[in-house]
Amino acid sequence: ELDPHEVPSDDLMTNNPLSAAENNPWQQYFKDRELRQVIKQDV
Amino acid sequence: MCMILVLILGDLHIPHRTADLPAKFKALLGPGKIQHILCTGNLCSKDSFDYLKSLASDVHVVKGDFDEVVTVGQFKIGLCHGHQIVPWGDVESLSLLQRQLDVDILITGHTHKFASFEREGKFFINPGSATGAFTPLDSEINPSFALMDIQGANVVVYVYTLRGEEVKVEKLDYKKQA
Repeated sequence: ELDPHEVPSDDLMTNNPLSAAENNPWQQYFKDRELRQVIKQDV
Repeated sequence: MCMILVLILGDLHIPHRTADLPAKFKALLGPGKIQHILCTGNLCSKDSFDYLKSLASDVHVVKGDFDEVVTVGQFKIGLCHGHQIVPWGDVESLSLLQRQLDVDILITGHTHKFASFEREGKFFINPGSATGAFTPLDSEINPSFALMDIQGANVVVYVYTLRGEEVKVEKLDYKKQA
């Protein structure tokens, strides 16, 4: 699982929970979490 | 790993002093990210409340003169509008309320000015006004709100401020003392 805190980045404008930037690790985190919820529902 | 995102905002004053949240803020806030919303009040309409409910299912708003204590993870969080604390925004007075409520984090509003500090191991946040609404106290107001990222005993606070047309992001850290 990707932890957005572990991704080294000095660019707060990109690396913050609300940024819509494509290279924002939080975007991947939210996608993963959503997918995990769907899997949990299905299992 | 479990992280909880808590949105802190207040003093919107919609529709009396301003029409809506800044478009740049609305673009950042979307459903499915935030678990809890703590609002220091002065929304001032049901529309604003419904909007907050669309972002997160758990929304706490201060009601008039009442303080509220909410528990999120390991943290006890006190929520108070802030006009009751005189002098407004005063460190000593805020500290007194924090001890009365016995909370780890105290959130207050009213001044329309972002403020945050740590005192005797406790954390204090004023998210400012999310719309940058008028206040007779100050002539220069930048719209702002805060987002807490809680993981265990650690909190990372992201502060979003609109300066001109640009959203600035700052980061603060707080660790709960055992």
